[in-house]
Amino acid sequence: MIIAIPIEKEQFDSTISTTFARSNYFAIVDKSNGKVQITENLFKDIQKGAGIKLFHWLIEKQNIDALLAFEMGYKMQQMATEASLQIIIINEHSKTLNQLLEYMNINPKTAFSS
Amino acid sequence: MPRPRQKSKIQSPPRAKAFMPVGYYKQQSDAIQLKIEEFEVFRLLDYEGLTQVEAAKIMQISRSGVARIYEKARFKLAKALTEAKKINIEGGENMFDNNWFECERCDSKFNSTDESKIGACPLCSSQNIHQINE
Repeated sequence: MIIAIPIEKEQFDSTISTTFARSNYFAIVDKSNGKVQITENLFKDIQKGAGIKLFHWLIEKQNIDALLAFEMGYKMQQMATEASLQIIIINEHSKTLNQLLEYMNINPKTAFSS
Repeated sequence: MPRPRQKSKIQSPPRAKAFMPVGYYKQQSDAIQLKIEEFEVFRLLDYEGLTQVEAAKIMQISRSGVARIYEKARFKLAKALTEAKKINIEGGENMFDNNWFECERCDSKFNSTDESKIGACPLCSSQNIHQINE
């Protein structure tokens, strides 16, 4: 299972972004082999339709099958439901990427070396 | 007898179950019951900034139905803020867009992608999960 996680900074101790489509970076976590890849969000400065473009990029280029977010827009949620992706909504955005990886039993040191 | 209310569609369950006033209250005044569809209308119109027509489409009820629910939601919230009452968010005539589950270990909410039952939380793999229905 590949999960897209929106994060504020390009670091493993970064907190989860409160917005989904306009977050600064994305962590693409592959739960099956424990690999994590952090990429810049190329669509965050687009004035209109950032969510739709980002969604297609995540689906086609990153092959994700789950989204993790603190809060996401209604369009993003509709698209994710239609594409039958799993949506995970966390309760606090103060959680860091490290803490989430810990939940998923992924060691950040081995994940980052990929 | 009036006809039963149309069920409105809810995108995601509200994050909090209740809100409490902070301050000097020896005796808790009775709570305001904010229905889930009232919360959802309030969220769609004022947080997402949609128009009533767009919100009606998402919730699958009429535009005037949205306006009625919004009116009630605003009155209830104003009353709760003015009279410093607890707000419970529960109940109402609604159904969720997806099957939503809550994990008791990491407090995250997640939906099921197909009709089959989910056995574990996708985040922490805990099996201590329960379905959110109402």
